[in-house]
Order: sequence, then C-alpha cells, then structure tokens
Amino acid sequence: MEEGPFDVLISTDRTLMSNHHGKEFLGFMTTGPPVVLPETLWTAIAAPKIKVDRLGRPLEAPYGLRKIEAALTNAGIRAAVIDPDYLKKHLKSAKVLAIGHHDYFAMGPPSSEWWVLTGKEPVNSKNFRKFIQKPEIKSAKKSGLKIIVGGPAAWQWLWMPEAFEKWGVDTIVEGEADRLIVDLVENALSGKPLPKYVRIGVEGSPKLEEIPLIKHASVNGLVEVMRGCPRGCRFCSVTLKPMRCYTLEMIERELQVNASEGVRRCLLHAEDVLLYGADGIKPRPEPLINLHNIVKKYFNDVCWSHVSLSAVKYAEENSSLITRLSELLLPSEHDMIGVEVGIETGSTRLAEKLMPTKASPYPINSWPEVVKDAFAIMHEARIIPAATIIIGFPGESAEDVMKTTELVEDLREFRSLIVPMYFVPLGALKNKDWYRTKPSEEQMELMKTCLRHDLLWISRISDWYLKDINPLARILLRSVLFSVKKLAEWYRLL
Amino acid sequence: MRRLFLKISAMKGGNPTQERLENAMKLMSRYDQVLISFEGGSVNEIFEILRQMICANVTSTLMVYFGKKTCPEGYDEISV
Repeated sequence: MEEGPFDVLISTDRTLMSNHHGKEFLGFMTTGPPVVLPETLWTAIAAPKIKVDRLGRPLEAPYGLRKIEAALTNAGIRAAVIDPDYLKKHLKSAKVLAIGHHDYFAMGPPSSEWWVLTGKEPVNSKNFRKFIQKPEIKSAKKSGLKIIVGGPAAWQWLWMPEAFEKWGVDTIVEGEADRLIVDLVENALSGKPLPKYVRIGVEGSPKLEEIPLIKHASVNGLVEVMRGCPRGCRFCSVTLKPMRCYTLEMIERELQVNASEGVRRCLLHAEDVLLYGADGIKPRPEPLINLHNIVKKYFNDVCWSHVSLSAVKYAEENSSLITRLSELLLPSEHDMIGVEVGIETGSTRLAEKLMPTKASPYPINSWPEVVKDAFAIMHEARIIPAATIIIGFPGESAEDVMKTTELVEDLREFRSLIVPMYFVPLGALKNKDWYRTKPSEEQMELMKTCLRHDLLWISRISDWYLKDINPLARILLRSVLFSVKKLAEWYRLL
Repeated sequence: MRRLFLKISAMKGGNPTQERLENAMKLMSRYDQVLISFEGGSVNEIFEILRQMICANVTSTLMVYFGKKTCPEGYDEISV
C-alpha cells in the first residue's frame, strides 16, 4: 500500500464516511433532521466514525470514492481515500481534494422531503457544510489546492452558485468519472486550467473494460455488478447511462478485495440486480445463480441494493427464481434480506406517462397488480422490500394520489417498508425557500398511510435488522421508534 | 468522434436570446463532445444556462470553461 505523501486526497463528510454499524439502511437517518435524540447522538447512530489506519485511511470507504482512488492509482498518481478527521496533515502537501457526495445540499429525495415536512435542515447537508468549511481546507485552498466535486449529487452545485464561489470549488464533475478523472487530475497537477463544469455523456462514460476495480474495501462490502437500466423512466437519470454488465471475474476480484480486508458482508449493487445477465428485461436463472454461488464462496451475509418489481414477478413465475435465490441466500428460516424497490405510483395513468416500461414484460396498465404480486412473492421468500413512492410528479392529480394511497393500503399484509419521496421539481430549486413547499391534503393522507404501514411492520423488522448491532445504538433506536409511534398515536395518525 | 466548440460571449451586451440558446442546444446533441467557453457573465448567469442544458437532456459530454478560450484543432465552432 502507498505510504504517502499523497498528491490527491479523496474524501467526504462523516454521513457517508461510515459503515452505519454494518447496516446500510441506518445511513438514511442522515437524510433527515434528528428526531427525539440530540443531533450528536443521532449522527453517532446513523454514521459512526469508521476505523482508520495510522495515516487516516478508512478501512472501509464509499464504493464511488474507491473507484476514483483505483482509477488514479492505476494511472500512477499518488492518491488515497482519507477520513475527514485526518485530512489536516495531508492537506499540507496535497494538490487536489476530490469530494464525492450523495446529497451535498439535501436537495435530493428523501432529504428534500424531510426538510419540507419538518422545516428543519437534514443532518447530511449540515455535515457537508461543516466539512467544506474546515479551516485546514480553507488554508490549503489559499496555498493553491484544487477542489473537484462529483458523485451522484454533483448536479446540485448548479443550483448553488454562491456556495461554488464561496468555497472555491474548481470543477464540478457530473456522471461516471472513472475514466475522465485521470485527465482532470493530471491537468490540475501540472497547473493547466481546469474546466469549471464537466458533464460526462454517453461517449465519455467508461466502457466495461475501462471501469477500474476497487483496490481497498468498500462500505459494507458493496460491489457493483452492472451499470445502467433499460427501463427509461422519465424521472430517472440512470436511464441515460449505457448498460454494462460486469464479468464474473471482475466481480470476484472485488469480492476478494473486500474479504481480504476483513469485510464480513456483501451488498450486490445494480439498478436492478435481477437483470444481471438478463435477456433484455427478462431475468435468466443461470447468470444469477452463478453470480450468487460466487458471492457465497466469500460471504454468508449477502444482500441486494435494488430490484424491480416486474423482474421479481417474472423471475418467480417463469423459473421459481426468487424462491431458489432465497434458498441460496437464506439458509435459516429466521434469515431475511432487505432490498430497495420502486413503486413510485399506483396510478396507471401516471405510470403510462412517466414510466411506460416499468412493468415490462407485463403491460403498464397492470402495474398495481404487478406490485401486489411481487410483494406477495417477496413476503414468502423472506425478502423485505423498502419501497419508494413519489409524491408531487409534474401533472399529478388528486385522483392519482388517491390511487397510490389505495395501493399502499392493499400492501398492508406484506412485510415491507414504504417511503414516500417528495418530488421537488428542479425549477423550484431556484427559489431559496423551496423547502417551504406544502403538500396537498391528498398527499398528506398518502404520507399518513405510509406511516401507518411502516409502524405496523417496523417493530418486527427491526427485531431482525438490529439484532447484531451495538447494544446501545439498538436501545436508542428502539426508543426513537417507540417515541415516533406514541407521537403518531397522539396526533391520531394511526 | 464529433466535437464542437461553442462560444457563449453575449453576456456584456445582454444574455444570448432564448432562441439562440435553444438552437445551440439542438446542434449540441449532434456532437459527442462539446467544449463550451463562456466569455463574461456571472457564475449565476452561467449556471442558469447550464441548468437549461441539463434540463433539455443534452447527452453529449460537456466541458465548460469560464473565460476566453480558443477553438482547439479538430472541433467545429459556433458562437452564441
């Protein structure tokens, strides 16, 4: 391992530089303001400090930062991911600070929604502000440090020109930077002018063989298996990316990195894990079984990032694939896995307009039935969906919202969590008070229906999910859940 | 690979008209890579134009520089 000094430091704030006690879902707590607990305690539960080596390099780091680190070191550049608490000594000699983030200014869902509902700024954007205003960064900036910002939330900087200027950001990079970051950093190191903004389009995205493989462990063993999504939903930018499936050899090499550095779990990441090796949008058993057999060679604790509900239904109905994967991943009847899924709407009218192929290979006018069937399949297979619905789509009518409320009520019997995401149109972000937008009566009713659903299931799910975390964090989380339930009863939401 | 150099320099005499910007955006979509040079204008004004480009789902790779820049070899050139 490179011993420094490093020319390029790669970092982010504490809300992301954490393994969230080994529970990815706890990280979502940083997208809201603290509830019941003081902020320091809230952040300690959601994003505890991560172990570091003697140079301040985290033993696990966000996967995106690991990719940038790999791309730069492959090009012979002295770069390392550094924990935010250990930047100071490295900044004395570093020339570039590369920062990644999922939600710099809490403009993305679900942060934007919690901000709208509570009127309080979420923990993630507060933490980022503290990070970027560190005196050591300010001082290094005066000595010529170049700051490059990227990651999934890079777009937010275009809505924050004052912050861009005030904090001396040199370049915003939007898109898959695995390839282009090398040119940018080489220019920065040789004193050439940097572009202020880069948006990586289809041509600039790395081809499969150009995607670097991580060299050090990722948070909770996250390993990407494919990029892109073929469904083309109009509200999602992932659909603009070309589709690329990692080879099994590439995946195994990253699994080996995580296993050899002591990570004990694996999170397979794709926009739809079930489409790994698929025939278009139809999952195929062989590639998925092969993938999971390889993963199981290294890890017992395996979970998925996202699947689509139509793929769940198709896979089970055509090859009992969900049952087979569940048997492979969950040998004990007490085991379960969680996964994010997108319901988005219960209105077929809106679904036809905004996500016409979301139900494929089933017709989009059967979307509510696809959702219910998929939830039933996952319930049987002990897979817990953490589902999103989107409120406030452009052109959404009160009737559309009521259809979604009906669908959420129909899902009551299935073990799951349903999270409403409040859609903030990009145009609205120009207004500095965008977070003061107020939901309609129907939208509020839908949110209450989701809350009732979640409070019904969360105690049972948390018994399983929190069983092996720090006992103090478990007690505090249970006290938060208890208080939220009591508050909901007090306000007659249940 | 098709490359375009787009010079946006109308800030001093008033921002480029919406029509000219929209025409430029249509043209951009025919290129794989677009190098944009903003001559003049505040960060706020420039970001406003970039936001319009993003909302128009421009899929080319964009490289945006503030300040005067000359058209590199191998690029088509237009001014707005």
